[in-house]
Amino acid sequence: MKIDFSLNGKKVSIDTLPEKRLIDVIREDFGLMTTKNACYSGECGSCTVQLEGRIVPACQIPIFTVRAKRIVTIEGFMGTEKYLDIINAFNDIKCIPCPFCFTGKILAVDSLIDNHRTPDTSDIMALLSDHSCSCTSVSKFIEGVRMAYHNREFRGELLK
Amino acid sequence: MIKNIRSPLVYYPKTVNEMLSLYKSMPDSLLYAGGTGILASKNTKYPELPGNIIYLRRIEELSAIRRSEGYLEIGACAKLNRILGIGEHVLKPALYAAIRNIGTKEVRNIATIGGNICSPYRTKTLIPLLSLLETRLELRKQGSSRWINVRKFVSPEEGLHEGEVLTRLRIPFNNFNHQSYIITGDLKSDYRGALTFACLASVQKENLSAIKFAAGIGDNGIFRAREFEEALSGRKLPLYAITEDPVFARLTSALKNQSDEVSSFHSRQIEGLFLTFMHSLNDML
Ligand SMILES: Cc1cc2nc3c(=O)[nH]c(=O)nc-3n(C[C@H](O)[C@H](O)[C@H](O)COP(=O)(O)OP(=O)(O)OC[C@H]3O[C@@H](n4cnc5c(N)ncnc54)[C@H](O)[C@@H]3O)c2cc1C
Ligand code: FES
Ligand code: FES
Repeated sequence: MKIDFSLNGKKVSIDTLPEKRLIDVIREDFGLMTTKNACYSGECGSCTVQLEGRIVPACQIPIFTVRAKRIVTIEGFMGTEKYLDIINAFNDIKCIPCPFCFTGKILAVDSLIDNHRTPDTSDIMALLSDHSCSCTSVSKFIEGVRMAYHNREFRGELLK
Repeated sequence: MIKNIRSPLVYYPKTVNEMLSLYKSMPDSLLYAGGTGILASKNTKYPELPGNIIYLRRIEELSAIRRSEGYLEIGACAKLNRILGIGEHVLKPALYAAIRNIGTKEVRNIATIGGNICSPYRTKTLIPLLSLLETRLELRKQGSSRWINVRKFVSPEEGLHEGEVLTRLRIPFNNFNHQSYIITGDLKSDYRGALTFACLASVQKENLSAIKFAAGIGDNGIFRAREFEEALSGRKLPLYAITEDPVFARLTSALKNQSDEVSSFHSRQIEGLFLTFMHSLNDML
């Protein structure tokens, strides 16, 4: 089945099985390997991508459902100022997520801080509980999210 | 490895009528909404899907959300996070918590409320609460439609008839000023052992004017104790030592009567959760 969609801002087309999962298409057909696939069951968060601007688990998405839709992976997101808000904050406090969590956490933090209000601890804990993570410091992570929010606020992005 | 059986054909209807006519001509097709219920039970590289798939998410009218005077009307394909976006003040705490509890934020961005109600795969944690709220479902097939109470819908003799699709639901607004929604156990590793408990109460001054609660256990249906609820309604608060009150025997006997579905372990949990809720009402006075 031929599926046209937008991937990281470019129109792409792929001829594949309709039930092939988006995560496998991204990794195997487009070579975008930063997004991971750890559980195939929607539980770990490592396969997160943006679909029409919202974070979704790419392992739960057969490719036929993305026809004519916009997908942004972490590779596409890395070229944005929004990414810098987050990565600079986590860099400053020396708490960059490891490759297993990187994609899911960065995109989930973006979706949280775009909410136009300072994320409180319970928001951040809810985000953490949505991601299977065994190697992060909770208190550092909370600090990182708050700094990322302030970076974005400082840039004036939240006022737009 | 590529599997060698035929790949499914996917249909993308844009209107409800187009979808119903497709479904009538191919009743064996799989109705596909968010797919999180369908794929969650298939964690192989290539999920095996039936020969024909009718994809529901391109039908705009199935995602509509409207507020009318007496109820909230939600299209079957409204995504869970979009429903949460209506706000806790409208949904009220129990329904907000029940939806918020499903999956992760990422999952709720694709999972739909209709898929939850129709899912045959695992515990449907919204059902006990939707049933307490007297939610009604619109089921349509080509040429006809009917409305049915969610409680009836999940009973073994009911459900979807051939060619029927859930198109929208109506959740009446409620004035229960004390609400609780709790899940015990681990849905992921042992969904049969998990229990969903929802309790709603109306307290005016010191009067418990109405109380009702429901528990869902695995996929064993819904436990209710209506006689007990009726006997409690109208009582004065605080109600201390309720386990010694003669009325409590009605709960015990309701649990005994349903001992095929409700194990003694779950019976004790239901009693415990109910008592905790009653304590919270007493404490608020
Ligand atoms: C990580 C994870 C956690 C989860 N946690 C929970 C949980 O806590 N509680 C819970 O209840 N569920 C849970 N689920 C299951 C599932 O995500 C939800 O039940 C979800 O709401 C299903 O919606 P969907 O749109 O994805 O349904 P789909 O997967 O698209 O469909 C589910 C079933 O319903 C049928 N169907 C869908 N829409 C209609 C319709 N309009 N008319 C008729 N039939 C229809 C489909 O044919 C299919 O059989 C979880 C899933 C995952 C992946
Ligand atoms: S691989 Fe998708 S959530 Fe784990
Ligand atoms: S940061 Fe390493 S597992 Fe989460």
